[in-house]
Amino acid sequence: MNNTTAGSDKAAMRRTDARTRDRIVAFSYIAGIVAAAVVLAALNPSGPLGFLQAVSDGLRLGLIIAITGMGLSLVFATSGIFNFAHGEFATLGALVAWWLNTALGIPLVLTIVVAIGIGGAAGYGSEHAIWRPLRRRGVSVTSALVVGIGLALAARSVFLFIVGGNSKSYAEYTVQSAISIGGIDLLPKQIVSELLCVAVLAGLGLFLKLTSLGQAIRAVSDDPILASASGIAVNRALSTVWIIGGAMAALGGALLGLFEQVSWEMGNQLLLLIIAGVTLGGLGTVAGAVIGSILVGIVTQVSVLFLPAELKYMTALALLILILLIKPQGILGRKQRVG
Amino acid sequence: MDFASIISDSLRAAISPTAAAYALGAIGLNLQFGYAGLINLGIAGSMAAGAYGLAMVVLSGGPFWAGLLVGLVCAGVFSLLVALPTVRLRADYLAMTTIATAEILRLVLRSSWARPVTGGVNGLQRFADSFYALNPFGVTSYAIGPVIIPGRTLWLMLVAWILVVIVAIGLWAIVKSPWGRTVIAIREDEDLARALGKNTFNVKVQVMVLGGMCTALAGSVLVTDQQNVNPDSFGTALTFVVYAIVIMGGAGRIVSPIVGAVLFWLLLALSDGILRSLADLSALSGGWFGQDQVGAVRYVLVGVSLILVIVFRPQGFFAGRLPHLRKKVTAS
Repeated sequence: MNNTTAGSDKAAMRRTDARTRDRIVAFSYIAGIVAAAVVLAALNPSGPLGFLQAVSDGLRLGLIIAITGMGLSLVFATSGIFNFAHGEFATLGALVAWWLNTALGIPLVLTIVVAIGIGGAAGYGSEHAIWRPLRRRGVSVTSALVVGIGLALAARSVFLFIVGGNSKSYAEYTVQSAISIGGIDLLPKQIVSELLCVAVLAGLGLFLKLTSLGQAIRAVSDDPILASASGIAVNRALSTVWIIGGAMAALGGALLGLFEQVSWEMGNQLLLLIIAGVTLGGLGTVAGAVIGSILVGIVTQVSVLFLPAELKYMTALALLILILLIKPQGILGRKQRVG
Repeated sequence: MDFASIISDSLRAAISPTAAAYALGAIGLNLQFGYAGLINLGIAGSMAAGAYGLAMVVLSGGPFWAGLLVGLVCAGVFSLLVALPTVRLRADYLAMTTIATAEILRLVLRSSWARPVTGGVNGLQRFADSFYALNPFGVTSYAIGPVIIPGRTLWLMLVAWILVVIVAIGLWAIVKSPWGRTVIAIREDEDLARALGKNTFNVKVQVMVLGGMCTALAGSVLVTDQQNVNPDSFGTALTFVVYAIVIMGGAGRIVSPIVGAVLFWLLLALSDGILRSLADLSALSGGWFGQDQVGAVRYVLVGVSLILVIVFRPQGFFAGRLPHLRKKVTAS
């Protein structure tokens, strides 16, 4: 009897050790990145202030990447589909916000709200019309990936068809004077955007943790069969994930339009950054997606200090490849087979 | 609506050097995806490597054939570098990495930093003169059935399709060999292949390099046809079209990518022709459907047809063995 208790205690200690070990690993990655950041801050040509400015701009970009990519990560976690067409929700949001703002003269804030709604509807629609039938047919992972790419191309072509190939900007908030805080320039719209992103992410976290629907989503992402056997409405959880994902991506795209040009291929450019951010942090984890996306945003902006600006996306992609080689599950991902 | 010219245009597109190029690309992708089950979303990258290798060598004074060889080597090296770290990963991660590497290559080729060598955004032009100097057909146009083809294009067509046949026969021989059977075994059950003592890692890397070299030939033919190497023409759209050809033609057989490419371009040119006539009619009556829109609709059609094929006939039109991946999409 004593032996069994001692044995199970030891097993319990081993289990805790594994989890603590994972946490230590994640922590050391972050510590390493912070150390690299300090070195870069000291060495870069624009000085520490330029570095901090880049970090601030990167934070803005990273938060937008985080909310846009959250849907991708959640969809992957719950249904195992890596949706290459996710970036197009962002384009949809930006284009809707732009068109309502410039063609109909509706204030931008309202058009962004409408864009969020349309993004959610598009998410629900695509899940119902395309992904659920595919899942039901038991389509392979490869086919799902290719379908996603096809969908992305088709959507992009529709956008090109409707709005044409030129970049556009909103009718409001285009030019603002920056507020200087401690030597770093911050645009008012940047502060609003960042606060909004943080609020949305916090809201999502609370939703997933506290509401029954959120718990259902978490259960489905852990084990869909078990969740379904426990009486959880798996389909409702999945639909909710797609609605949230589409809505958040539309918001992200609309916010990105405040800082960069709105165009038919915005989503595609954003997509690779999203993939980098979400994978870096750990596919399927909310906190991971946030941390990874912010890191990607910061790395992208900091790289501009050292490399020509047009190559800035390249550093994010290189970071993605690096993390896929070292720890494909991402910084916060659970250790699981990826090969 | 001039059906005669639409049909002859479509037939011309189906046998054009472009179709041959896509056939070569599809053969290469078929080796990686159809036979080995590796979902390589970066073939646009290896095609770009082949095309740029050719153009850069010729523009710095080398002979055309040397350019072709260098293009092959460039694509092989690119595929090797991509394959070494990534063939271990499973489908989603392999897809992400290969797409990222192809985009990195495209961004680098496009950048002003690389402009002295690669021409940056504008790319490189006028490097195929030595190839066309060997043209025995001259500048007159020849009629093949209802199709009229200028001499220069006919020359490239001949060379390209001969290349397709050579590569296809070569690959068929390779696939029939013990090495080829290992490749198929990897697709069906990699753990079993490894348990039987096969070095699956090496074989997968070799598949990526070999497939990459085939796509290099495809890229070379494409740019010789247009006499223009442009980084933006090697984006994900190119990868996707080749995938569409491989999937619709039926993965896993040597002949099906070739037939797929021919049929694909036939259908695409047909729909283009019909849409363009519609656009002309619409323009005459003051409608909004113009020539710009035709280009956009093209990809919508490709995307939708691919989705339909995957849903209703996943083995493609000429069914071979479907690439069999163990993991299915979860949740129902």
